[in-house]
Amino acid sequence: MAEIPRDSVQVQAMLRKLADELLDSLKAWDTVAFIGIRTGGDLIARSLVRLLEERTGKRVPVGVLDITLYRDDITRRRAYPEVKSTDIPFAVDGKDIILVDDVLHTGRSIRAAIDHIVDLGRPGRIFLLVMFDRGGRELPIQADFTGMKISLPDEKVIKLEPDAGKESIAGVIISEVKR
Amino acid sequence: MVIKGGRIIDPANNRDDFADITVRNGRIQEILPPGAALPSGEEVIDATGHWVLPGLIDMHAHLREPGYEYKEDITSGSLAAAAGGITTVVCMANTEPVNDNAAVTQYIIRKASSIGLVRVLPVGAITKGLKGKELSEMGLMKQAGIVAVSDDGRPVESAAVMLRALEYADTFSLPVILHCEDRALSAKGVMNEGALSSRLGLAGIPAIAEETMVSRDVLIAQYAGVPVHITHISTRGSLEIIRGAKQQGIRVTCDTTPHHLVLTEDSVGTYDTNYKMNPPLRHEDDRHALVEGIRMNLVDCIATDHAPHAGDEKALDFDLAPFGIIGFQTLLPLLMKIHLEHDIDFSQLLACVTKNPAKILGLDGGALGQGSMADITIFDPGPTWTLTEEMILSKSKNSPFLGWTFNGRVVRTMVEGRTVFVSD
Amino acid sequence: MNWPHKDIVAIADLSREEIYTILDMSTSFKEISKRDIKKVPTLRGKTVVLLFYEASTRTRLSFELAAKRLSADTTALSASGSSFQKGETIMDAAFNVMAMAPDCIVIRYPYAGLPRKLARELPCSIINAGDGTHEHPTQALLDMYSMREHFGTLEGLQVAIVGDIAHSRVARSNVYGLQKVGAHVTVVAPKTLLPPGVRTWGVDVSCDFDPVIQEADVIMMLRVQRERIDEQCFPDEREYAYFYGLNKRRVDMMKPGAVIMHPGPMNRGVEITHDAADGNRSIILNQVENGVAVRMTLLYLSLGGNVNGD
Repeated sequence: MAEIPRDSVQVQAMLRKLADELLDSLKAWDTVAFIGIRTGGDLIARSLVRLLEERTGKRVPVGVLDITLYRDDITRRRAYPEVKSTDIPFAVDGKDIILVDDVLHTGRSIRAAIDHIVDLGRPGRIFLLVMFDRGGRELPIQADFTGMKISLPDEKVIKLEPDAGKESIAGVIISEVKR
Repeated sequence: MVIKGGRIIDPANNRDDFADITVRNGRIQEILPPGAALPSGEEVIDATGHWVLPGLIDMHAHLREPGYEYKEDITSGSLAAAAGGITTVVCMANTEPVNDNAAVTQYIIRKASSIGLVRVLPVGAITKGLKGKELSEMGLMKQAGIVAVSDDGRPVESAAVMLRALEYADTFSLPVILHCEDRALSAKGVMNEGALSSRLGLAGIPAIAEETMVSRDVLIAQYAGVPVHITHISTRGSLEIIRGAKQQGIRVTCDTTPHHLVLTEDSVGTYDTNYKMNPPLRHEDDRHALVEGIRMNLVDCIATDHAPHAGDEKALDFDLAPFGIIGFQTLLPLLMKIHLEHDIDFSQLLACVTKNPAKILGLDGGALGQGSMADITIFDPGPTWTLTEEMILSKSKNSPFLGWTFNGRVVRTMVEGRTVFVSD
Repeated sequence: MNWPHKDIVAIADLSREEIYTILDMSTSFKEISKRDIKKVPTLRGKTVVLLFYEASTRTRLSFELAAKRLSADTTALSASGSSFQKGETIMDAAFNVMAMAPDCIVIRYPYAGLPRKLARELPCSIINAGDGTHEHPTQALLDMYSMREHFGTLEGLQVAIVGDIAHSRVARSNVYGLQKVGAHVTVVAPKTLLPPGVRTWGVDVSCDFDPVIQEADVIMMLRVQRERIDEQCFPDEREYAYFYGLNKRRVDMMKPGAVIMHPGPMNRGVEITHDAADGNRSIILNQVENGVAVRMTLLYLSLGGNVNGD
């Protein structure tokens, strides 16, 4: 298995690879729109869209999704999650949505995100793009585009670190879960 | 019978020393110095380490019978009083029917004597049905056994009726006990009016609701030349009016309750209806004034205003629940508490529940002299204990003092030489 | 951060930080009401019982919409509070409702203190929708939200609350809340409608409306009830309107940018005229809109952030 990218140069390489894959498989760019799941997915979605706009010369719509209210574990946690806004500046109806998240693990976040999107309208298709797939699914959900399949012990978490302007990805952090 | 080895505290005879008491035919036969020869063959009650007190007189209580037996009846009330060391209960007229005629008076007296525990002395209504309009049959009630008249629970609103009532009661030498409250001012109030009532969103009863009436009644008493007793005063202002009246030689006496001497409005903060009473618990400044009023002999008596209400009634909202708390079994413990916390002579506090009410009501009792009625309370100042609902002998358990820890407890209560209560 | 409260009984119980948390989150909840599908599944399977023992349409509707937009099941029960003076007590009714296992009870009640008692005795969340003249915390929160939405900040805001301060739970909750978030409050009323001890509230007190108008950023008018005339708090509606009503003349005296609020329902022609209620300074309908968002936040915090068992 390849090395997990850690710094911004390695991350950029992975993003470029994902952009290539998207350009190969998606032909009709007029209907494509990106939605990132707050906060890691949002960062990736906006970074990818910058690359794709450079490459295609077209405006690619991008929005951000806060899935807190769609989670199924709200009453299981002591700390209440902060609710931030969802901000989708386009109509999702008929669009080919690229749903973007940083890490695919149990699949529950993706389930919540899909529920959220369909509450906003009726998209044509929804594709899933993730940077890391660490396995351990609890729902039958698979990514259409995957940056890298990785294997991590349960007690480890993997997170993207934004740069100071919170516009692009500065690196990847792997840390212990606080118990 | 001989009560041996106790410390005799008797404000009426200025006595506070160790002595033995012999009792015969319901009266005190002799009071003997320690070591004196005692008659043989008598039952001996060992009061070593205990205080031997004149039986307490509670000049303001509600026994609820007839009419409200679900709250309390004369039997349960008598049991509770006996357990509290109270040998004489003066019960108010707001029963159903109201004690405004000799038939009700006789009923209460017969019932109490058939129970045979404490002495129950009824108060007759000032006006028929406590309505403040027509005078009740005070003379006939006096013959039947009332010891005073009062419309307690309600004020006599009309000054003209009040004047006539004082004059007419005095015709029969009946003391008049006044509940002073201007109902237009107290209106929908349920607690002391002030910053706290505003914060809690509860309607307030201003101090002046009481004070304007105290003021009026003192003036009417002066004009009529008739003594009045103002019951359950609760404010510094009332006390000041009474102080002024006494200084002018107006014959006015007053009492307050144990709860107004130990609690303040601050307790209402949790909306617990066991802190809802009328007059309401007042400010700390008022409480302090009342305590000092006792110390300076301005407050003549302490009376429980024992007011049983069923649990269902007290479970209502603070705005809706009835006013009042029970008090028989906490009277002496609270006097002890006041004695300890405010450094007031115990015998001075004791005078407020023995000698003074006896004098105001013209009763034979409240003293431990040779030939006095053998109404005796034996109190053990030693033990500390905590009040629980199971200990309460009243039918109703509406006490704010549940869970309080007290010093000293009643070990035996005797009425005319008969033991009516012994602690386990 | 943990949300430490099972219940929302009184603004007096909330810290400044907690109030700001509620206001911040409400913006996110407000967005939901702007969608085509105005519903999120957050509280799916939760039951919210609305117990209203006092006439109210808007507060009940607001709570009901808030709960439904979070996918909670709601059921409403209205009755007259006076039915508890005899027979069944309110506590009987409350324990009966509790036996049906609701997750939250929203209660409006004509007497002070009940929500506090329910919060103490029942395991479910209690949200006070107004108890007697005690508190109406959700109204104060939506008022503060509306002010902050309009002015961007609450710090240093000059707020005049005008009318029956003595009998108003809205005034109490707003005074406590606005003081915590750093606004400056003046209460305006004839002396007969000022509560005892108002000097201890730490607010400015005025009996003269006109000078206060010229200083205020927010003028919050309170409903005044006819009942107060019977209680001799003021002689009649005409005189009240003259001295304490918000009319065209007074609207014209307001500072530039100042706004008019009213918790509703309005007594048009008494404390407020058409010019004031419906003019461009009025943010009364914003208050109504924001009420749903703020109540969604409170339901979310009370029901979501609070259950034990990780």
